[in-house]
Amino acid sequence: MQVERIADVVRQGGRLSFEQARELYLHAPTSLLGRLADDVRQRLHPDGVVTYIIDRNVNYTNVCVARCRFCAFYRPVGSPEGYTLGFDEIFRKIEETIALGGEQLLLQGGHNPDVPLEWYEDLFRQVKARYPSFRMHALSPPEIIHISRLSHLPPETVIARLVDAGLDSIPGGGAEILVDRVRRLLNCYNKATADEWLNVMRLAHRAGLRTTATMMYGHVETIDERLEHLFRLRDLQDETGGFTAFIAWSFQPSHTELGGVEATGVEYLRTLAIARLVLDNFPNLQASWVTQGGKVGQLSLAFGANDMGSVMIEENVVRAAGAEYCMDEYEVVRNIENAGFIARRRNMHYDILGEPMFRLQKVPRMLQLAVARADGRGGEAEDLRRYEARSPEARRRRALPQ
Amino acid sequence: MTSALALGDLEARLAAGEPLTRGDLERLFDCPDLIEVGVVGEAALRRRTGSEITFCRVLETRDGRVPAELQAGEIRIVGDPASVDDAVALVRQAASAANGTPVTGFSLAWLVDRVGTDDASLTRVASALAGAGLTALAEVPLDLPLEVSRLVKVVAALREGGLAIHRLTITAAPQGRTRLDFVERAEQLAREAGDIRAFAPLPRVDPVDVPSTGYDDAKLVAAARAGCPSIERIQVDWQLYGPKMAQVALTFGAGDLDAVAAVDDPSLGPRRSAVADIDRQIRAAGGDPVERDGLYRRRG
Repeated sequence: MQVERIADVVRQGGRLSFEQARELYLHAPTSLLGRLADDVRQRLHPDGVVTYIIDRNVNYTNVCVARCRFCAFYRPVGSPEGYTLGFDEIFRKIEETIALGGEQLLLQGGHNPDVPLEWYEDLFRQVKARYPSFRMHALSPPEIIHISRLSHLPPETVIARLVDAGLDSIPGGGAEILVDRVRRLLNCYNKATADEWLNVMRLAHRAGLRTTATMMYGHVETIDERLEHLFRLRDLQDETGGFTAFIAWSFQPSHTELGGVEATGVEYLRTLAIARLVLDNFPNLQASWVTQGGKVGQLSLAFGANDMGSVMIEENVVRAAGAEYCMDEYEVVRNIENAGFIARRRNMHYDILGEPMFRLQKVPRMLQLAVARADGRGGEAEDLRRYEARSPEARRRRALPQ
Repeated sequence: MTSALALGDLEARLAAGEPLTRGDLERLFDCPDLIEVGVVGEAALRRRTGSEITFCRVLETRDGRVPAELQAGEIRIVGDPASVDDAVALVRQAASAANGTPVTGFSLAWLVDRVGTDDASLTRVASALAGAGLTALAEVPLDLPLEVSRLVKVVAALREGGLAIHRLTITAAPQGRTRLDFVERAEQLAREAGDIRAFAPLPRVDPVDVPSTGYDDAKLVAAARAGCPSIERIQVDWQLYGPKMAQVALTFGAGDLDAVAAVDDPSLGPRRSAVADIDRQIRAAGGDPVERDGLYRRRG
């Protein structure tokens, strides 16, 4: 039987070809895919440790000119619901994160034409001055490209300047499906083509940064296009070795222009498993409990995942599209241990930081994730007035006397 | 982690039609290899009901009102009426608009609270409810503090009054392997009372701060399927457990999706699944969907 022959390739530590991966993804029973993925996870992580990170997912602005059809989070320039956080708001979030034992911000936002490169540089410098050991895992490849276009600088220069200001690593957001046919249909081709996304990651890796990679599936792509995405990532990882982890999640259709129905839980587990098998050069796979819920998030640990991702503390993007799950550190650890693993805190580089924080210090329970602004108000912070705006509305606004 | 095929002997015994012991179920529940637990659960499911997965669109009503255009396979009266007379009135109202759709309602916990466990009283009340149009008691919670032998008599008394008793549930239960007690109770009750069509082993009440885990839910479903050969379907509540966990449960031994929404209610969010989506979810889990009604009869 073809599936069994291919399964043997995996069992013997061989590398899957595109056609073999396709055969498994389409025809292997879910339990076999899970078994193979779990075997690979055990080979890569024989110590039985499952990691997680305490960091905060901050979206500094929801103003965006990209207008991706799958996004329910963005607001167009000039929208009264558009917001851009100020430095003080971000510092406050960092302090709340530190109080929970966190050590990093995952900072991402819309493609806001009124937030120039200098704003990011100043922000990163001030963060590093105030909180020297705090890490900035920030700005996905499409944001780097957006800043590059705004500032008329090549992406490598933008990366170099941001690193100089304090950027520590780059998150793998905005990958969606790395196939241009799909990106055109999703209206995200202009924010970054597949090659552009990969090239930013290549440049980042060459600059010494580590990054993650993601995949948002379950919208207009075919199975072959999902696999093409995985194989393109595998090829780049062969070249640079700079990816620390891969994270897959299903498209969340609520309130989006694209709409439709969400891929199923079983499809998520199968996709995770096939990713574990194809991405044999990725050391870590994260569970996406924020899109799948805590229960299926935990089941991911049997289908190839060795990391529960972040406790997040705050989430805005997925929530806007209808998913509202919350797991604080206590819940993440309880789920890891309930599945028979050893729970350990990590940083973005997957260095083990130690025991769960709540066992070392008192940490309050968190039963709901925070949002960018608790009062939901729009508007940009006063400190943005110091920076050059691109949109006519913002130029006029910032020219007004204070 | 345990090695592969740690539960291979259980799979073989199920295939041979042998019943599993409490010790077997504990091994299954304690096995950290979730994939293998799933293999056992799914094998037990296939052996019991093949690839057919049933589902039921349920219209839940608290006040007895039923919309005119109804796609439901079951009208279920939920809540705890203040008295049996109130319950009879609710049933009468729902039944008058049911147009042939089975009307079910109430929990045995409510009934026992109002009437006690005296057989004659139960039969009398069951008769009144059945006379008003109730076809089945909606749920028999196994966490009621009654011995199984007593439960068997209660079920018989209710049936004598004209109510069907098909569905076993758990309202709330401590987490972990103690939940296997309910699997044993379910099998014993089904064996002795007969005609139990479904058992929903996942509790209806889950603490918000410490909910049950996906592993424990999946293992409990598998243990229920492997440990209850006398019950046709292991059931998962679609709205209560959500599409992700409910669908995944189908790959661990569940064979029925209960409480699929009967009206297109946007407030249900992702749990508002249309029949076409239920169909897609079941097929994606490797099953063949069959719609049923509240009496577990095939529809259409």
